[in-house]
Amino acid sequence: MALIEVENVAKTFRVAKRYEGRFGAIRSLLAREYREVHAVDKVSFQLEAGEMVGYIGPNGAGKSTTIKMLTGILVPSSGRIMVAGRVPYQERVAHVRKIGVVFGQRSQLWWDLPTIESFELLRHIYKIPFERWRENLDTFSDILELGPFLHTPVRQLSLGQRMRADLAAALLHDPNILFLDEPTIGLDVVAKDRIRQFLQRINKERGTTVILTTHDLEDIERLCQRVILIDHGTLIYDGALEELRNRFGRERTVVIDIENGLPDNAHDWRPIGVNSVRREGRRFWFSFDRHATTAAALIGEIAQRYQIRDLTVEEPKIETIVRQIYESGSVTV
Amino acid sequence: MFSLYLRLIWARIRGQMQYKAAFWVDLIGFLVTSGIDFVVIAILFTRFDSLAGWSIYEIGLLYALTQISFSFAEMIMRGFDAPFETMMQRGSFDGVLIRPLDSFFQVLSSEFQLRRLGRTAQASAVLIFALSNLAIDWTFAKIVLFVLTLIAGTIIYSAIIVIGATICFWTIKTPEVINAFTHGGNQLASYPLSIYNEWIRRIFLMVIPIAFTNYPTALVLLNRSDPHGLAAQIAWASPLVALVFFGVARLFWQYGVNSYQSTGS
Ligand SMILES: Nc1ncnc2c1ncn2[C@@H]1O[C@H](COP(=O)(O)OP(=O)(O)O)[C@@H](O)[C@H]1O
Ligand SMILES: [Mg+2]
Repeated sequence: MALIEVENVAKTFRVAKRYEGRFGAIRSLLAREYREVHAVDKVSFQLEAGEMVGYIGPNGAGKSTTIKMLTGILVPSSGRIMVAGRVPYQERVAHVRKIGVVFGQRSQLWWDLPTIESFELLRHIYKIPFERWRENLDTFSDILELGPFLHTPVRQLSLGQRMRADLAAALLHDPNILFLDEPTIGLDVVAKDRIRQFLQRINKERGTTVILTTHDLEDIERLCQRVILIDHGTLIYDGALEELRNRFGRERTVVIDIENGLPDNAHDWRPIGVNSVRREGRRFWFSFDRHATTAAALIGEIAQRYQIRDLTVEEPKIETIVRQIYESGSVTV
Repeated sequence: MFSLYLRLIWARIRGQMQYKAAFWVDLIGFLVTSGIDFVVIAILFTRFDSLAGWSIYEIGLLYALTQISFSFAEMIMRGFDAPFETMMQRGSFDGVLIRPLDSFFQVLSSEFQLRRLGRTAQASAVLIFALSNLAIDWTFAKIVLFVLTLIAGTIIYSAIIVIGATICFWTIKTPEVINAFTHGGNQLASYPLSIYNEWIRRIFLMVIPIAFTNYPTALVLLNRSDPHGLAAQIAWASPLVALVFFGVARLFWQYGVNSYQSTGS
């Protein structure tokens, strides 16, 4: 039996029509007018213990809703979810004792108190033996460098610091599974990288199963071999990241800012392997097929013609991949 | 469990104390604004000597009993009040459901509004004013009844606050109607139940039993009888009524939790 089993799971929200005014709330309650939102629509997949999986999709695809059902926050409208042999919402307390949950947008820490006090309260809430708690806290402080802000109130932490503190908090009780909903949202490159490294270590050293949602493909580049892609509540891909990229995400983009003094023929020039060129002022976008050329070769070629001031390489956007999957006809909806 | 409750509440109070100035302003604010209620009643008595046969001191007793209970309930149940609405609006009840503790316990221990002591202090002053002018022949039984009534009253108001919070599971906002029952009910209960018409009396005795926060007990303490024939000895049923009412509120809460929809971010 797999650690996580999701079978034909759907979640439909019935959004009540809202009334304003003095007795608006009670009218909304009594009025039976609803709009239905199919947030998740018959999704099935299985996860084995020790896996690290990226649950990806555009905004509004149903990622958070799936995580909320897996963590026992929401009751599925239909279908079956089993996590470690339990139905999450039915045995909520026993279930959540064994999992860690991090929401990128919302801290689970005590806002007004120094960070360390949240960790202490969690020790009591989860009844973590002191020795084990101390050990974990030391390890996490070390890797995530929590030391400098352990005594700072959570509300004064930067987004990156807060995220690190939340990660540590979610792991103090040695959960078997870690659920992360957009853990890197709004973070800068350095902060993202630190968090990715930490997750990799936790997964490797502790065998913690990790499932993370994101709409940013770069997040999972180095973390997950397996990705599950959903769109409009429907699963449209489940498999190796490598294959997904080879089949539907071949197009990368080199973005270049050049120095002054454009050659006249700047518009026509298109290096080999480049599918399209776009220009705005002194910034160029060269989109190329990763099988036809490499970023390095392309940049070398560009550098021979122009004086490069700045450059970045963009991975394909999730929306582009989704569109290509539909265009390839490999989804039947 | 109780030690965990104390620990969480203590954490919350220390959090509030980070804003010391706001704390004192609020405390004094509650003292003054809630005091105005009784001033209004007192002004009434400059015009009339009695209300439905009740003297200002007797009214003071009614007022103090119901107010003290209300202030305790507001203090203890703060987590189910405005902060709970915010919790619903932001979807942060999610955070409650991912902790291995009963959800009711967690909301209860998420807030404690010490500043409502302003209302307690004000009501206690009225109580002292009333008792020092009333010649109650205190017996052991009357003292017990007095204390039980305060406890029952606290439980009754707490249950109303829980019901209001539970409605948020469907409406996100606590309906105004609930305020009518807490604040409004609390003001109506400052006057003898006998002055109201039959329907209101029935509702406050049998549906939302706010009358049990003071009226029957005041009849016993003051050796009065109800003009509509309500037996004063029913005062002894206050704790039972309170517990049954609270039990209903608690069941309703559980039903609400199962209907929780979270929010789309
Ligand atoms: N609690 C809710 N009530 C009503 N609609 C919701 C709720 N949660 C999510 N939705 C809707 O369901 C869809 C999927 O949302 P979500 O799971 O948050 O997507 P994602 O996390 O992939 O961005 C969206 O259309 C969203 O508006
Ligand atoms: Mg989301």
